[in-house]
Amino acid sequence: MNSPAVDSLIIIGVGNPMRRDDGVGAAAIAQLEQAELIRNGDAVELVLLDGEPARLIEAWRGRRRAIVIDAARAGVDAGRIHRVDVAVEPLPDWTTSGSSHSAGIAEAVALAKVLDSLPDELVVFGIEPADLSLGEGLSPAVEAALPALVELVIDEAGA
Amino acid sequence: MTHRATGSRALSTGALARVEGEGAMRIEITDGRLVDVQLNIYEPPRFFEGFLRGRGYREPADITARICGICPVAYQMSACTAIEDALGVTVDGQLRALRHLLYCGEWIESHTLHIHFLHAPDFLGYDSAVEMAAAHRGAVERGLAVKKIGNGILETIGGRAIHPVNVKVGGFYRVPPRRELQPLRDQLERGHVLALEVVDFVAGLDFPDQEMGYELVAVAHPSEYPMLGDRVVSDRGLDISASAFLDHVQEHQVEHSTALHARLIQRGEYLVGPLARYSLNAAKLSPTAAAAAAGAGLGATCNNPFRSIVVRAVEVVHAFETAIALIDGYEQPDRPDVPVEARHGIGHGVTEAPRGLLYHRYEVDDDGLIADAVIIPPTSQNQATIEHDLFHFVEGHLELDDDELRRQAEVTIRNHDPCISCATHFLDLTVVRS
Repeated sequence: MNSPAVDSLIIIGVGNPMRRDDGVGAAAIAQLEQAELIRNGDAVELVLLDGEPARLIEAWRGRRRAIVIDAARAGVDAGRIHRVDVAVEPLPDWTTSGSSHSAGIAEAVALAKVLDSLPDELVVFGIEPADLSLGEGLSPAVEAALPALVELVIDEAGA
Repeated sequence: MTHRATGSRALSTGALARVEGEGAMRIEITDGRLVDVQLNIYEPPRFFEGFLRGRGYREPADITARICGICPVAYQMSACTAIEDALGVTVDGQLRALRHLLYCGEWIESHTLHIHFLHAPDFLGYDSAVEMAAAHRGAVERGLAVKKIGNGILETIGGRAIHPVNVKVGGFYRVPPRRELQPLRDQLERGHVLALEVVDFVAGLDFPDQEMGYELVAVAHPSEYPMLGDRVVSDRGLDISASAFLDHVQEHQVEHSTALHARLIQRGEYLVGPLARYSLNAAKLSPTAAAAAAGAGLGATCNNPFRSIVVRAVEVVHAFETAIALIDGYEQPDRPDVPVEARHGIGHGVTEAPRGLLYHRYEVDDDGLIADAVIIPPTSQNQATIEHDLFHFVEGHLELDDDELRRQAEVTIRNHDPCISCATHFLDLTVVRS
């Protein structure tokens, strides 16, 4: 029950590490925890969620900025990183497609719009998964994309 | 698609909207007659049975909690109870009270999600919570507020909101001092008031008349409305210890489904979940929950699956009132866990996940490694009954066009809250006519 500053940034990793590449959000958050993420003297909050829409809304409600990281199937090469700025462009199909937790992000965004609880800036990074089967560990393609993903998120956080 | 039921048709759906509950539904109609209804809900728990073998006895509580983000506490509680049974350990007193409190948080969160985001839109004629929120913003905001307070229990006792990390075999890693629970208690008082409003809200919905003749099965406790317990009872005389569960419940493979179907030996299909808990335990509800149930028109039992939304709302009131009472009676235990030593043993655990009885069985070897694991989740136990419900419903509504028939069939499934993923809208409907 914290009451974060209105101007703060939250970075949300979404997914289940027991679903192989669906754990990419958690893997990114783990690396970001090691990085220096200070902006204008404010610490950045990092959280891990399962993609359930109500929890997403509660996490970003009251923030000025939010970044969401999730595995998302757009039907391109595994490890490819998509970036969507929710304020300026509509959510693409991969946020609503089946077999992806990202369906939760699309629903959360739509619901947050109705409830006026969308951050001013919401950027979603989607990483194309190769394997969403049960088990631990990322596929080689997604593992290889992780450093670039973390770099992009750090740049975004500092923007 | 507005085909009428005069010819032959097959309605089927492919993958569901979320990854954790891949499943499908198929309804086949030939010459205006319902021939077959098949539901196929994919079950991650089966994978975990194999995944757990060879691991240390402390691991299942954390690993199985990752099966589902919506009911991790249930998995932790059934896993710990079963392993403690295998190792001859009893967790009681304030440690059990803290587990009970944690479970209240999960019921509040899970039920509130289902009530507001999945079930209520069905009754109010909306396709989604998003549509409903535009017209019923206050109700949806109230749902979010209630859910967040439930979440506060998981954060305070469980260590964090998703996949709580504080539970272990023998108790907890850390137990809070009494003063730490006071801010939570203040929130729970507020949540209790809001939860009573939610009962009024759902009691005002329109419910189809549909009394079903299921055998209702739930965990039993001598004095508590069951979350934790060690016996399994039914409304038709079943009364067994958790250790006898597999002697009475038989799972069998059906051709169309990757999920096993559970039946009571020589008794047949049965139902677990809110209707079963309520019908077997209404007298054990907390005072304001009992009053709310009466005010909402629930009798001593409830066999109408559509009214399960009212039962869930009543159970949320019960969870708030119980949580407050547990905090009021709380004294920090001297140590956060009871001593546990590895030894060979077989143990059983039954607890009430929000969507029904969750059974775990483990065999632990001399070195404390898991030799065998069996997990029977509520959705698997209810699958045959949900199919039965679907058959009954579709047979009586063949006059509906395909879209409406599909929509109402989904509502029929959602009545049983099979799990968040399975309860969302089906995708890829195909209609085949012969």
